[in-house]
Amino acid sequence: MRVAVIGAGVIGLSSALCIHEQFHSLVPSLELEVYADHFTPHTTSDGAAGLWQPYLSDHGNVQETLWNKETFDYLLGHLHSPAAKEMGLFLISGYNLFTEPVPDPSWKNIVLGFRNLTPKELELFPGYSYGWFNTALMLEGRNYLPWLTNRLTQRGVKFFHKKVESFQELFSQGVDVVLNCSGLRAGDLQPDPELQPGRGQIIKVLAPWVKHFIITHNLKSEIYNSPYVIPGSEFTVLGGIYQYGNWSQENSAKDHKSIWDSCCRLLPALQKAQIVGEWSGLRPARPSVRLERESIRLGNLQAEVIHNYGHGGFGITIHRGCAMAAARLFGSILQEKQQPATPPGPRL
Amino acid sequence: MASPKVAVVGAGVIGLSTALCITETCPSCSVTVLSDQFSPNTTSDVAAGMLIPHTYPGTPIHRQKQWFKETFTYLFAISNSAEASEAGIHLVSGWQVFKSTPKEVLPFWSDIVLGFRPMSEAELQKFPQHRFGQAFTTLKCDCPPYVLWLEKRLKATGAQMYTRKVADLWELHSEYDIVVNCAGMGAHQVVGDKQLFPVRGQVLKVHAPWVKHFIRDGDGLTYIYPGIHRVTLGGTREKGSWSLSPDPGSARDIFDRCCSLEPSLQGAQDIEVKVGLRPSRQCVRVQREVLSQGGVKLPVVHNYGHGAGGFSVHRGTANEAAHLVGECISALQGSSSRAKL
Repeated sequence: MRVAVIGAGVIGLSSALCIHEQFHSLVPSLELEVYADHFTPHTTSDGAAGLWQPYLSDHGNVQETLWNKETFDYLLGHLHSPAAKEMGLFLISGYNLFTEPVPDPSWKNIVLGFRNLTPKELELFPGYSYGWFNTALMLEGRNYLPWLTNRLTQRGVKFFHKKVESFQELFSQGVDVVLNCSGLRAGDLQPDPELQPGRGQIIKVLAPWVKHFIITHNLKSEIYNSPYVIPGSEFTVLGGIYQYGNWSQENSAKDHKSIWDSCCRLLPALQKAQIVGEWSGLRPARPSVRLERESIRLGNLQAEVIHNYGHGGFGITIHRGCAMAAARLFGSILQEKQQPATPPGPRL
Repeated sequence: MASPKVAVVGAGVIGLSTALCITETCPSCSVTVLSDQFSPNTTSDVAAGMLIPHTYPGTPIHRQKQWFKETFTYLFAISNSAEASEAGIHLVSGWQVFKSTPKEVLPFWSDIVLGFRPMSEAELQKFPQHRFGQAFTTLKCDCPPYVLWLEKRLKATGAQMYTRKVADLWELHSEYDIVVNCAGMGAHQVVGDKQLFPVRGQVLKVHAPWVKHFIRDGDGLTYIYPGIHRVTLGGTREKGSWSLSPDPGSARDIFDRCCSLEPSLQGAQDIEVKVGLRPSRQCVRVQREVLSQGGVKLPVVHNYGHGAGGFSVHRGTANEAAHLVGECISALQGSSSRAKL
């Protein structure tokens, strides 16, 4: 049974790991392969700061909130394991800031110690009159992806550095199931007008005195279009760009200035921070995550595709829940394949 | 007295902040800092510099609270300014955890730090050996940066700093009008204060940049304080020990205790061992005194004995000491005008 995963970002690698963990002993013939044109450190997941935090509202998409919770609980359970450092996993607390009161988010009981900000805390952030404090998790892609890659390599999963042009290409080579974790480029494999880039740009600085994340919100504009500061283990990420429909991966001087000015206004001490890098990436934005099976007829073959893409700016936040769901879909495919193709009966 | 000459003995956080306060309250004073040690070789350089007060049994609580509040307010403003990184001041959140519920569930400083509240059950799961905890956000003064920043601010006022071992405050009487004694542990010798005793503290300073929270065991013995570049792991409290030599057995024990609070510290790198002697006393001595020999008087202001809580109250006691210096100057001016009659 050959299973091909397209995409080696956090979604592809974690889906591959879940499937291998759950099924390799049940399916002795299981051969798992990962195909991608970009591997760590060149994936979208590598550019993300790595903060676990969903969007403010799940818009009634309870399934996504459950996947977020599953991911948080999974990571929290690994916090004290010896692997945590290698995974790039650690606790982090911080601030969400608003210019007016807002309802509590869907994730308030998932994170730790969620509370409103006190007036004295708000003095730190002139211009903001309301906010939250909570403890969440960081999962740095530049550590997590190599860790996932190592776990997969140890399990005998093979990696292929190539751009897959079509599902057909893999099926005609004898692949039985394809996991489509191709992120923003899923549209190249199968048109999906709902999938659009949510372009982001970030500046990486050295500001090791910053120990909290600070996320501001401008309710009149998109999430992440308002300054944010996220301290990692080696550098701090300054951001605040979300441009829907913009496919450019070039760093923009205008965006740089906007990020720099707004973050320095938020945290004056950043003026002295040394800039060590800049990056643009395209969040694979979609009204909801596409996580579903699709049976594709190819000649006389029935090919199975499991789609798992469109995680926008919350891929790291939701990855494990989605990977487990993808594994369950794979399980259902296995169940069906064990059924005979036609029911037994008298041959006339 | 046109330009009173003030000598401040001691160049740790107390000496430098007191000197700075004096230049602020008495701009006409000429201030000189004298010390046998400067950063990075002061006791202040070893301390983590966390703003979590130590309770002095001999000082009224309202006075300690006032000192802490003034210090917190002063540093809060710096942390929020462009100078924060140079001054080494930053906010840090974390937890104080207790194996058994403390007698005092609300310490006197709980309304001065930010967001103080009991920890939730979910938060306590991170600390399986502890049953109760408090979460809050406070400030940390990283040293050497903070002490160096104080030195820089002082130099900008025109104050002078000299390396000099002062054996006895009286030796300064001919060169200075007022002496301010911020000698910390040195006061044991310089003024012969037998109520002052060392409490030896050993710490480890490690590279573990993924640790973003402080963790303090309520007994105060074990703590993890993340600074700008290093995390301070502590500690020991050895009353009466004068030894400044690192002890390898203690180092191992500190590391183990901290790893049981924060397992990820197993991956810490570049472990440095440091030792400091907390200049401990039942109460902080912030007090005026007049030394006299053979008809000659020397006004002295004492500001020492901050023990484990120097950083937490430094600005408050510096303000008080500067105020006392002001009183000394008034007294000198009063007596000099009387002398003219």
